[in-house]
Amino acid sequence: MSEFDTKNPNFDQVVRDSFSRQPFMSFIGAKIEDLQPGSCSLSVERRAELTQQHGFFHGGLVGSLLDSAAGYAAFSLYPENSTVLTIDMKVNFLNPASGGELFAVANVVNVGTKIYHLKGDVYSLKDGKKTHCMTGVFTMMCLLGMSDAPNLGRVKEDA
Amino acid sequence: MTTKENANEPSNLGAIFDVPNFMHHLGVDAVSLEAGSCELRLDFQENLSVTKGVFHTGVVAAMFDMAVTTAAKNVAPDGVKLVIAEQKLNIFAPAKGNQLIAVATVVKAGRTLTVVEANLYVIKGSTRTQCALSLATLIAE
Repeated sequence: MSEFDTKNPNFDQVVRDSFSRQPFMSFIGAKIEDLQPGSCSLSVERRAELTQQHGFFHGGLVGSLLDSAAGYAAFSLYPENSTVLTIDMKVNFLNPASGGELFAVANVVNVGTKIYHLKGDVYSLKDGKKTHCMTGVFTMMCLLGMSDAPNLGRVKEDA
Repeated sequence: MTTKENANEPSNLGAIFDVPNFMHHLGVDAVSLEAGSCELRLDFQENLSVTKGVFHTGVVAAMFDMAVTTAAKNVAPDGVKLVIAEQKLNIFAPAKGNQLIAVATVVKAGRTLTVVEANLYVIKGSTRTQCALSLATLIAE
């Protein structure tokens, strides 16, 4: 559990709205399982398209899910009219991500002025058994005064 | 926490603190040693600082190195030599205070690779603030 206070009383709606605007998260079928100030949990169900040659969830997907969970855990504490960017991530693969479902949980460890540090873990669920697949550390930047929508103003809508 | 049936007894680990190594040179003490975890302590000394009252980042990195290695060795089978393969360090505040405390916990102890997480705190008066965290992989030789 996170012990941090959010600067945005409206964080729940802001984070869920941002998540719903991420085409990649919707492409893989990711869902928000839990959202608290400084903490976010995401899940994704197994589909053949998300696996690698051994039938496990692809490692890049596991990392992507955890990156999103960490991003939104940080974003949940940000003030209004700001957005989030991952500036650094490091992960350790602990076990193959087999099973039918993945859960990524990320928590804020430290709040800075612009830089937030987070920790996160991914678990897979197989026959009711939880396996620890990944652990990682993340650094997120808070971009103040920059809208979270759309696309940081870099991508033209008709592009 | 990961444990192994053949985890070393904490008493066996005391030996690595009794030899004249780098830990001794810095003045690092073991606060607690348990299967898969350890806590180390280092009192502030002027010759370990770069700015007044702040521990040098090299000392911070050394504390992490010692803590993760000690925690990992604690769950390794007898005779297995563990060395750090990679280590990531995230620093969020200057290590300014009277004492550094490093707490390391084994996340996974595999046959070949052991992953250890460590948190570093600085004690100033009666407050304890986390100033860094680290994630390391050790390999059995």
